[in-house]
Amino acid sequence: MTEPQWLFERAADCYDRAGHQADAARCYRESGSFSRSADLFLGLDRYREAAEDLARSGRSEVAAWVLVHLADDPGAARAQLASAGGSRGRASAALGELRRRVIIARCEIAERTVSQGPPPVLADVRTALRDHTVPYDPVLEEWAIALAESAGRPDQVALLFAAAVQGNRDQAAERWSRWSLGALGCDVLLPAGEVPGQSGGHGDG
Amino acid sequence: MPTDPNGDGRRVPGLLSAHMEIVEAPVAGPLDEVLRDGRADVAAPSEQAAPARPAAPASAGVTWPAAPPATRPDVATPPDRETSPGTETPRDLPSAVRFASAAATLMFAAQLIRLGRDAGAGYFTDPDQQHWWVRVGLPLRLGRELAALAHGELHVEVDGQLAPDPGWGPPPTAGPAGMPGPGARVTLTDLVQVAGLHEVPARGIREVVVIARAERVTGLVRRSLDLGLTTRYRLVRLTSLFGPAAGSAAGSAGLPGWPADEADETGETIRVELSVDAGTDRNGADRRLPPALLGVWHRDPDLLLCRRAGTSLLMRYERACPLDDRHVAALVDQGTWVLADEPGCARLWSDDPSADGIGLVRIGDDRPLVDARPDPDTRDTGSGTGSGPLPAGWPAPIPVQVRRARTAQASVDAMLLADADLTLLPMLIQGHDLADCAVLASGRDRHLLLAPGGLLERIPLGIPLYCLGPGPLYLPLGFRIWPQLPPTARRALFEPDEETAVVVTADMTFEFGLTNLRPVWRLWAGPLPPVNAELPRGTAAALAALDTAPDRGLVSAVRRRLSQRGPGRDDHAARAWRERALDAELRGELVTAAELHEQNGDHLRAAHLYERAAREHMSVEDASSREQRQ
Repeated sequence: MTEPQWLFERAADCYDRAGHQADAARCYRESGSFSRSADLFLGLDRYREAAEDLARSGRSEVAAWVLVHLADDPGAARAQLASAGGSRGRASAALGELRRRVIIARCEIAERTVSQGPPPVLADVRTALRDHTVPYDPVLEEWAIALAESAGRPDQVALLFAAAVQGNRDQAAERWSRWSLGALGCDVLLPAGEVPGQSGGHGDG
Repeated sequence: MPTDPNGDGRRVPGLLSAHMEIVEAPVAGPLDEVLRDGRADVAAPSEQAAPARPAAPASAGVTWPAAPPATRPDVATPPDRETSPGTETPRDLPSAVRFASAAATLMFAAQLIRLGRDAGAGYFTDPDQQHWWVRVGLPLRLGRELAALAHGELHVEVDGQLAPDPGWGPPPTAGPAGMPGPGARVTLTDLVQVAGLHEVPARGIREVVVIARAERVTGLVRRSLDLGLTTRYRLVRLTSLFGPAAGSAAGSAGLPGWPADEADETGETIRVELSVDAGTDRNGADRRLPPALLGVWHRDPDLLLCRRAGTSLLMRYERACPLDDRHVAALVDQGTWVLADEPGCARLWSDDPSADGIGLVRIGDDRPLVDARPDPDTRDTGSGTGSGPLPAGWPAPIPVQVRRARTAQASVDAMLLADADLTLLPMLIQGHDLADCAVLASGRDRHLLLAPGGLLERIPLGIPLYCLGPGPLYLPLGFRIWPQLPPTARRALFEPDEETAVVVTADMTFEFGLTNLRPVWRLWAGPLPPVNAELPRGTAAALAALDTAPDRGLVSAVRRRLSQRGPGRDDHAARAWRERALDAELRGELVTAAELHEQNGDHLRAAHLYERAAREHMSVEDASSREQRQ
């Protein structure tokens, strides 16, 4: 890191401790710590700048998601996806492909070009969630739930959570109860006995 | 038997001839007044007959269709018509209507004016001003309807006495004796004054008038120009409308309701009248004024927003008189009336023609026009580098100027204050964190307010400055040096160092000595009351005994320390680090100063100094990398 970058980073730390998040984000950006500046920009609801910095830090799919879901700009999101190239090697190629399809489905909803019926990618996401051999991708699950919510299909959300519980994903039942409390106003129970071998079953509230 | 009143020879024989004949007669009764007026906007409820009839009088040769008499309104034989058969016009009874409020009286008067019967009307008030009377001659039925509409009580004059009318049946013939009657005569203007204004919703207004003080007008014009509205302004004089307020000497208190201290000796108040017009849009259609803007102006206590209710009448926005605008406008005698419930009414006089509001808005700074041909004698003006005349062939150097530019990243590092600002500064800074750390460098008639790490606060005094560097070189916010100078050039030209701060403004460059920095709280904290060092008795006696001891130097030193004991010794360490930080900053060691601030918990100023250091490094690195590339 060059001298000015190091100084900008120290300035950003001090701004953050002083409570001036906007200045801290600006200085992190100048210092090259794009992921930190992106997090701060997201906290400040400045989505476009967050997306720019996410792209600079290599998380271009997350940038595309932020653009379409938070900044409501499907055109920019598609452009971001097109210029992104391959996903980072962290997630497997199949999951990366699923993520891109979720983003494109969300773009279609934002552009109001979606056909009738739930987005077809949700079925594939459910398959991935249910399958024990496929590694768990919490970001994909979160995006798929947001996609189903944007499509106005809480039934699809329920199906996604059911798939997660069936795939024995960590704390899926708790997430479901949180979501149902928030979105439906009441805690809808998952029927007991559907999940074989799930320890510490969901409480009977 | 069918008669032939018009003499045109038309007779309609047959069973319905009785009805047809009366219908064909010249229309009499209440409709007569309507037709005489020639206007269709009559609201008198007694005209239920009117909508069912065509407007043309029946005597114009129209043959009526043979409709069954049930659908025809029963005008043929009104049961309460007091006219004797054969006469068509009901006679006017001298009536007087009593109202409980001036507003109701005005509603009644408005009806009379619309019907054209106001010529003979007189307005009176009770001696105790509780009731209002209108004396007018009206047919009984019309009078009953109009009085009921305006919530008045109809009285009929019989033998010089006023008899209350029951509202139905034949007219009263005698009234109770000793009934109080109308008292003093009043005019419509008095009624307007007493009734006041009521609220009405504003609809599609295209032109408003704002009466404001001169210092507000420029801001209003700017806002109007932003929205594409046209404005015209002129100076006006306001005098009292209804006469001097009760209890004040005539004219000396100015306008009742308006600020009394603004009236001059003649009792006039000077204001600016700004008329704002929405104009037309691209297609030529009329535009409306934005209601949000009008709402803001209406609620502003320093402005009076009016609509034009007539050529000489201005009425406050969203207010109306019970009397129609055009009737009130007919009452205006001189000048222009301004009717408003707040701050009060006035009479407006103006001699100027109005001018376009654009002239009030400054376009920009002066840019003097010069000849196009360059002056051939401007070649070797020394640019101040001190290196003598330039070699031949070099282009003429550009004089260094300070120009307006965006300085979005800059924050306030210092303030340039004048003498007058120094007297106001204690009021603003006392109790603020800055009072702890700010220091003042005084000059002859300007002063520089600094703080280690930058002020970072906007104080509404003086000129805010940002530190351009290197060293204590300051420019006002919103300005930059033109042409752009690298740091070495700035240091060479302006020579800022840790003992001299240089402030460059568009008109002048100031130099401040930094050796005598005084904390800003010295401006208001004077000498302390005398401190009584409370020494225990034994110590004082021992010290007195020591006075005669041989080691006088040590004793006097101890004494001095004890007598100087007072508050503030604990802050010595705190003050010291700020002083060290300021020294480091003025020397240009920004990172050292930033670390001092960070260690002592002032993260905001530490961050500001780190950022300044980073930007200085960036410009230095760019210069050095350019050197390396060459």
